[in-house]
Amino acid sequence: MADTGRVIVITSGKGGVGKTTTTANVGMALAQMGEKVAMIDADIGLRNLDLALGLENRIVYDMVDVVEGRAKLRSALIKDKRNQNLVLLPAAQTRDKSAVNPEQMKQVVAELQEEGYTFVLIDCPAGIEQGFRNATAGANEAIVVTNPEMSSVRDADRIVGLLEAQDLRNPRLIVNRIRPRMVKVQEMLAVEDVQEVLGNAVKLLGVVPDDEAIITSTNRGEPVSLLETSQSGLAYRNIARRLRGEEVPFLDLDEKDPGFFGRLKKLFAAG
Amino acid sequence: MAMNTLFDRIFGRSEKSSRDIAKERLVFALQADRVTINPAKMDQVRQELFAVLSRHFEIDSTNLDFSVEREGTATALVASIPIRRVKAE
Repeated sequence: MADTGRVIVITSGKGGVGKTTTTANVGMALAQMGEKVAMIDADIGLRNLDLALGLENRIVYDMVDVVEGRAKLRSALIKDKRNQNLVLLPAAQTRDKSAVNPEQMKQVVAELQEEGYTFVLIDCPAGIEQGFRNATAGANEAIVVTNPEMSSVRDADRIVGLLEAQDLRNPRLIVNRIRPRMVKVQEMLAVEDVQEVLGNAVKLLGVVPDDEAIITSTNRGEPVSLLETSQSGLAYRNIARRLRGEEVPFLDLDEKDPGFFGRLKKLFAAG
Repeated sequence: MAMNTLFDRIFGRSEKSSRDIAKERLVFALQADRVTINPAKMDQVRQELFAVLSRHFEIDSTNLDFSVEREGTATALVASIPIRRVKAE
């Protein structure tokens, strides 16, 4: 029973590509679909996932408290008020990555699975050092997040190799912050370029457009996947559906033709 | 910008787009990254190879040469292993 749940590490190598935002949004979307979701912020010392979820004011205990026996796992988990299926295990803010080791991470994950969580999502810190080894230790699947930009693709390639060394083969890829207009005029790497460069071992899981709604929704502590109208929210919900095994076509991010009246409106607006 | 690109294409002044340049540079960088071997790993390979070959040959270990050579996009492990004799079965 303990090994029925899925444990997915969300990683990238490079910092700032959107791991935490991805974790928060995919986790929320999965919970909205009825899954029991536990998220672990594995970035010890640089706590952030709580902010993306708007749960920062409710933290009492953190992962290090659990590992060092000051708190029971259950009392450290923060239940989301919007969705009872969702809990967060926050990172410690005042300690560093050496406060947790891979064995302890495995133990925490095993305990979460015994509690019946169907998805455990682990938000991996940037880098390839101990934080990476901790975050990947308990996982049985991996998602690599990258931006359509050279250094993050290069780091993603490195991470794919390191994941393989940890027996996490065939990670799935999310290309985040695509700007369709720039791709259209040949001034940004396209999703297919990124795929081609990274090779067949990596399967595409989703494409998320660069969307201002992510900034505003993160400002409010409301994951954008709760926003019906945003394109990035839809992209994250599609990713969650694909993770559950559904076949969902990739979003067509091309600018829709605004039509005659749309063009007319634009003309007046420009004038 | 789109318009400029269009004109360039029509009049054949087409310079490579930054997308193409990025992709090309990435392909080269990753090819190099993927075949970069750290010295410790290289040493391990050398030792393992030596162990296997030593079962079958008597090797002149003072004149071993083992290196990684690159030519263009191709990378090869090149080993020169002088043997003194084949060991008896």
